[in-house]
Formats: sequence, structure tokens, C-alpha cells
Amino acid sequence: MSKQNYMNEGDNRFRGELRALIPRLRRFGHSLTGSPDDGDDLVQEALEKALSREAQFQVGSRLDSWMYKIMQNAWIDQKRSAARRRHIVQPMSEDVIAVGEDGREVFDSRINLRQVREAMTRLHPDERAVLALVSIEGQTYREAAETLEIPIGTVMSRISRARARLLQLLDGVDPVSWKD
Amino acid sequence: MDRVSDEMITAWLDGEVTPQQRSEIESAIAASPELGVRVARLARADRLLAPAYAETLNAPVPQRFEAVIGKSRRAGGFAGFREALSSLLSPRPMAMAAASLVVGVMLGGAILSGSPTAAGMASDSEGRMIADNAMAQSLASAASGATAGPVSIRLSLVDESGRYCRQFETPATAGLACREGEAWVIDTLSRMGSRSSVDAAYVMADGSMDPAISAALERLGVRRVLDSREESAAIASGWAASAD
Repeated sequence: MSKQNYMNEGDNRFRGELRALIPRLRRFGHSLTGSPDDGDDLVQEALEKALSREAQFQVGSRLDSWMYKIMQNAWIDQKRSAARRRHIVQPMSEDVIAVGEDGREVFDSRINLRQVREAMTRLHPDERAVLALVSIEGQTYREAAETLEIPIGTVMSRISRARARLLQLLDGVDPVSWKD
Repeated sequence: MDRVSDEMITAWLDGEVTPQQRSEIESAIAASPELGVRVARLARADRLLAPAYAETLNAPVPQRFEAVIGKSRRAGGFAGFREALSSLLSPRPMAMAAASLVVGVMLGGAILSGSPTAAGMASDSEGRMIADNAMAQSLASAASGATAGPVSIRLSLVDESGRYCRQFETPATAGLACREGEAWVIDTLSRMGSRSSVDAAYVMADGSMDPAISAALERLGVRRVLDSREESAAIASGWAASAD
């Protein structure tokens, strides 16, 4: 290995680790924004920020949490921006939400993945973020609390509410929500 | 515990309760069918969520991110090589002028005709060029960036047909070997006779890839490059089955 390469090794490792995280960041972006394209925009913005702030990253802490945090903050900034176009949610088609008569498993098999993603976009952004981090990305409550900069007790109450709300949406228990 | 809240149930499902809370909740669930139904209901949320974004997770990574990560530096060495490779990842460039670059390359069986086989390789009953024992051992067990015996592994990838392939170099050659059954079939072998020194075999001066290897990867199609963790797993599993 040449001297030049040796000197670049740390930087290359950082970039390599970022590169390896991209699939998970894309998933997080998708679940957070409700759109694969918007999610990818968020990933790109976060990568640019991360590379320009590499010195701020504390070696030994988790790069994935740091990236989720950057993405989450960028997303909140976007939502605050009046110029940001509103994300249009496709109405759910009613034929596939019909409840199976012979039990929940039948019903589950009729919920398709698109419906689950659409139900996610109906959740309050705070609830969506905590579900994305804990239920999809597998963060602990403590990690999610640090990522979102909220108390751990708030994570606990939010995730509970978010799950219950998601199920209500999917089960059509609260039909009003489909029409707003 | 008289009344177990949804909050407590979800915390229990997430493994976020104290041991004492856990035993209380589990006793409560055992004693109450109604509570069991609520637990099952809340557990359903994650069962539905988990697969909903799997497609995004497993999709090929778009080129745009590599452009961000790779820019603002001119990397040499292994990183430069990966950058060069990334240009081959889908969406594929329109034209690589691949054919014109295949100079001094011997593909598959062609290597057998006339010329003596390269060191470390032998032909099998089907006329394919395969890595011999020592070289196969290196291909199977060495991590990218490591040198095992005369062979240096550059990186591991999955081609469009789902085979594991490894790009390797020896002091005299650059090549690409792909796993088929228990064998490493040499797909491409490029002699590096024009290089001034065997040290240069690791990387071409500007960090780019041997054009013959570029051409081979373009021809096979690169589904994805394994990261070090995936590569370790593949090595540990003996390159079992197809990657995805």
C-alpha cells in the first residue's frame, strides 16, 4: 500500500462504512417520508452533511444512529419549510381492506405491503419516526431517544400509540381517517 | 398488576422492561386471555411493518450516492478501485467500449488452446479453467485486500446470474473467478506484462481497474459488491448457495 493510501485509510474507512449503511438509510428514508424518492433525497442530503461534518463524528459511537439523526433533522427541516411541496398520499383502495370473515390470519394475508406503507404516512410524523427507528430499524428505546432527542419515556408512549394507531388504520376501525 | 397498559405491552414486546416488570406482565398474560389477545394484536404491527420496506432495503443502490461518497477526493488504492467498479453497477453506463479494451485477455476455454496454463490453474473435464487447490484455497478464504500465497483478493461481488465472483491478482495476472458448485471457475485472466513492476499489480497507477476486468464485469453484470461483513459471512459459509 502506498503512503498516500495509508494516509487516506481512515477517511476511506469512514466512507466505506457510510457506503455500507446506504441500504438501511434508504429504508429509513422511505419509511420516514413515505416515498422512496423523497427518502433517497434525504439519504443524499444526509450523506453530504455527514461528509462535511466528519470531524464531528465521535469515533466509537454508532455511525448508523448518527446518520438516522441527521436524516431525521433534515426531514423535520424540510417539513417546516413552507416551500416544501406536500406529499400526496394515494387513497387506499377499499377492496383490499375488506376484513376476512374467518379470522385475523386471513385478514393479514389480504393486507398488502403498500397498505402498510400508506398507513405509515397517515401517522403523525413523530409517531412515524419512532416506529421507523424501533420497529423497522431495530433501535432500542434508548437509541431512538438519543436519535430523536426526546426522553425515553416519550419514546415508550409514542411507540405504543403509533402501533395502536397503525393497526386502527389497517383494520379500518377508524374509517374517518381514510377520508381526510 | 390489575391493568396492563398498551404502553407496557409494547415495551415488553420490545424487550424494554425490567426483569420484575417482565415477570409481572407474563403472569398477567398467562392469567388473562383478554390480555393475550391485546398482546397478539400489538405484536401484529411489527409483523406487518417489517416486510413493508424490505424491497427498499434490498434494492440495488443507485449511482447517485456513490457520486456523493466518492467526490471531493481522488482516491487511489482499494477505494479507487471500488469507485471504478461502482461505475459498473446498475444503472450501467451506456457504453464501456468494453470489447475494444479486451487486450491480452483470455476468456474461459480459450486459455487452453495452445498456451500453457497459468500457474495456479487447471482445466476440468468440461474444459473450463478452474483454480487449482492452492489458488482455490486462497479464493475461498482470503478477505479482500489480503494476500494469501501468491494471490491477492481485490473484492467480492455477486454477478447478474447470482454467482459469487472474486477479483484477484497474482504477480503476473489480474483475473476474475466465479464460484460454480465447489469450483472457482476462472472467467477472465489478464496478463500484466506491460506493467513495470509487480508491485503495481495491486492497482493501476490512477487507481482504476484493469480494463480486462472492467470488460468482464460489464459482460457478466454486477448485481452488487459485497461489503466486508457480507464477505466474511460468505467465507464462513464456504460460499454456499447463491447470494440472492
